[in-house]
This record gives sequence, structure tokens and C-alpha cells, in this order.
Amino acid sequence: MAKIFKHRTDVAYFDYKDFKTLQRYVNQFGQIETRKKTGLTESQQRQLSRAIKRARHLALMPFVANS
Amino acid sequence: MAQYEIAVLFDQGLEIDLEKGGGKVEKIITDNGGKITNTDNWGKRKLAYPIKGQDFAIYVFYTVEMPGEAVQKINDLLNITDEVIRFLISKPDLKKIAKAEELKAEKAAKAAERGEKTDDDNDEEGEQ
Repeated sequence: MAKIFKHRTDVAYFDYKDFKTLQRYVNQFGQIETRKKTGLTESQQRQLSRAIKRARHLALMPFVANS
Repeated sequence: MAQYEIAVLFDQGLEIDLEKGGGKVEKIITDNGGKITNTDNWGKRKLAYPIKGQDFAIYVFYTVEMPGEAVQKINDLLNITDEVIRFLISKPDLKKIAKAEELKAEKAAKAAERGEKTDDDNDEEGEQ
């Protein structure tokens, strides 16, 4: 199965304040991409989803994008 | 005592008078045994979605040293503070951040090395 990002991420730690980086890992509707697409390890993906959910709570990122 | 991070979204009407709301929050933190080590003010920002009918809010991030029992108390007190429209108390994973920074520095060093090499290549091509 082809991964979109085949390389391992260059982001070593996902911070909820760094929403510009997190934006790369959501699709056009604001949903978090799956591991198949992000190419992250399990623990990195957990870290990512936690960071995105925190960013959403603080309205740094949308729950549903309206584009 | 552990390090916590408290993110607070203030009412946009406080922009002129942030000391009023900010002082209130700082008092809540220090009254419960917390010590503010760093404050990061992002200023007024547009929200990704409206909260309490407002499109803008003032973002302030506090880095706090406080005992674990204080978290629940501060949580309850911030919930009933009118000036605060949204907040988040989180515990940064210091170990992982330190490791990430180490990796970043390593990568930067490597990139610098590589950058020098490619520069040399370019020079050679230029000469040809």
C-alpha cells in the first residue's frame, strides 16, 4: 500500500501551540489523517492526535473546516 | 512540584485592560501554590470557530510550577471566571521535548555539513 509521505517525519515533538505544523496532518475537512497517510509511528501518531485535539479545544484549529 | 502549562483565552473586550483579567488569573494560580515562571502573550487572534458568540480572543500561555493538587482547584476557579472564555491545563512531556531538541540540533549540524559540501559542488560547476 502506498504511503503519501514515505519519509519518517522531521517533526520530533508535536506541540499543540505549533498549529502550522499540525495543519500538515489534517485533510481539507480538518480531519486527522490516518497512519497510512502520515507515515508516523504509533506513538508519534498518538502524540499528533493529542496535540491536534488540544489545538482544536483552544480554537487554533477548526473541528470542521468550511472550505 | 511539577511543570504545567496553562493556556488562557481572554475576552476580546479586555484588550485595552488585560491587567484586570490577567491579574485575576495570576492571583488564582499563585493563591493555590503555583509559581509562574514564564508568560507568553500572543495578543489578539481570530478564533477558528466562534466561542460564546465571539470571533476573537486574547491568547496567553503561562508556564507554571505547582503541586498536583492545585490542578483541580485552578480548573474549578477558572471555570467560574468571567474574563476567561476558554482554558487548557496541560503537562508538557519534558523528556520528549529535550530529546526532540537534541535530534533537531543533530540534524541542523548535519544539514550544515551537507550544505557546505553542496556549495563546493556548485563552485566547481561554475568554474566548468
